[in-house]
Amino acid sequence: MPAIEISGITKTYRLNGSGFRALNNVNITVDHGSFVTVVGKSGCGKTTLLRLLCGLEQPTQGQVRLCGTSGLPLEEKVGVVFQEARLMPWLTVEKNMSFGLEKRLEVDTGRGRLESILAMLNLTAFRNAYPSQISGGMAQRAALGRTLYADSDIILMDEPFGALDAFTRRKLQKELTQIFIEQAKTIVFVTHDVDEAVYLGQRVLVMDSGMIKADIPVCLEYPRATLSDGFFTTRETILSAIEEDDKSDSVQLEV
Amino acid sequence: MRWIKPFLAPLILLAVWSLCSWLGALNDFLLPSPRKVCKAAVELYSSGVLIPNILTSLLRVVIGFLLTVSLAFPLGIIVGLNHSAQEYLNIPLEFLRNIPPLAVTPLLILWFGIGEISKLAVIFLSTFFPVFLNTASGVAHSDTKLFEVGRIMGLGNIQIIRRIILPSSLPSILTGLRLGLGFSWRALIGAELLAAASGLGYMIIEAEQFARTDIVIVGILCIGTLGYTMDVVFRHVSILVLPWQKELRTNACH
Repeated sequence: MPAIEISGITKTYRLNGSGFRALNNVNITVDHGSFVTVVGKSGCGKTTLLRLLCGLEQPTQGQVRLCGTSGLPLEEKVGVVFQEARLMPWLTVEKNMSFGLEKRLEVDTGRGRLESILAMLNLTAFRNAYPSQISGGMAQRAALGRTLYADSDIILMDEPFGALDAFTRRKLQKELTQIFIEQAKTIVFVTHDVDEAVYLGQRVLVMDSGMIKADIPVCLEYPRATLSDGFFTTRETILSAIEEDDKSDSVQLEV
Repeated sequence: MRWIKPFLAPLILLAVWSLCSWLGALNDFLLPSPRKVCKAAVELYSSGVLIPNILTSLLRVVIGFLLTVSLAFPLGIIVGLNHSAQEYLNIPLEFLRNIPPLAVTPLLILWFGIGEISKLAVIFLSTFFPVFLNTASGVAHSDTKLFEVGRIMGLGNIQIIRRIILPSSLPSILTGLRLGLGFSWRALIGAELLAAASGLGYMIIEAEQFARTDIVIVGILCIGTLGYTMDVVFRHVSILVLPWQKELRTNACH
């Protein structure tokens, strides 16, 4: 049974009386324990796709099945890391990570898991800091920690490193790869950065105008060398898939 | 020596006042000397007038404030959560907000007499709006992005209100409470000046009839000191309840 099955999904928004189709007949199947990146321009529907997966939006047509079942409750199955860390400003790093899951802390194993996640993400020294006291990179680590602590099978990430500086982004990409190798999670990672998509994903889905334009496997070993031939070849394949769509409009793509 | 800064201005004022009185530059009836005011305070205290009047006024504020908050706070939450309610209530609320409670006092005295109920009504009118409006706006402006985090964690609506909306609107709610407390204190003294049989305001107006300006000044000093003390206490409570904001203040650079 696949972790994620999306069949015939269409999502239409009402905009000033007329319909705007954000997703158009999308079909995706994601296997357990795989890392899929979704890449595309702004407005291509990739964020909508993620919001449908975590149940924050309902599809106009079609069905989303997670681990074989559809509908709520989703909290056991899906964790989300957003573009902004979305930490509760009134809670410390540690309490943000266990937010909604405080019951687990009453058990020794639950405490222990929190400790190990704090340590893994280098947050132990900042466990009692409030979000306003830590940097953007640390806040995003805490958000990732919250999702890891929830221990859901599927982790959805919506451009989580987009607002970080290049060095911090690089570091967190490495850490995320490490986490993926160590823990058997299914990750769907949305980004507009082709390099990031190739660096992280086992499979890259190229989206445009609410449709999946290409599904490109990345057959490279982790951790990936960004200067290798294989990396360049995959990157070129994805770029040309995006540029194919670009023939219709002359918008220059940022890479 | 930094601790002296806040006290410097009052001390200078006191010194100038004493000096002018000593030099005979002030009419002792219009503005009695600090010594005379102190003597009046001691006299009021030992004759058992001052403390009961202070306690009466404080008790009125505490009861009136708590009663008002117990109504304004839940209403603020309901209206803050309910966007359509805001559209219906906008004009009436803005209208009422602009009426000083003292303007309604004549009606309140006619309706409720000069006893405790009319005092509580004045406090209610002055406290309700700051508490209600700040609670409602705090709730209405809490970050919807955080609700989504709650929903993904499987929280229900009640839990989202309790665990996300209330804490995130707490700074605004506390601002409302603090404003409301100050307003209710001032409005109460005003109401006691107009019609009352006890309280600090009554003490002042009674002193006026006996031409005891020294007692009037004692009353004014008590009102100011107590109002300030309430605010300081409230600020310290706020800092305790909002540790993340305190951290922001004391630890701005990291």
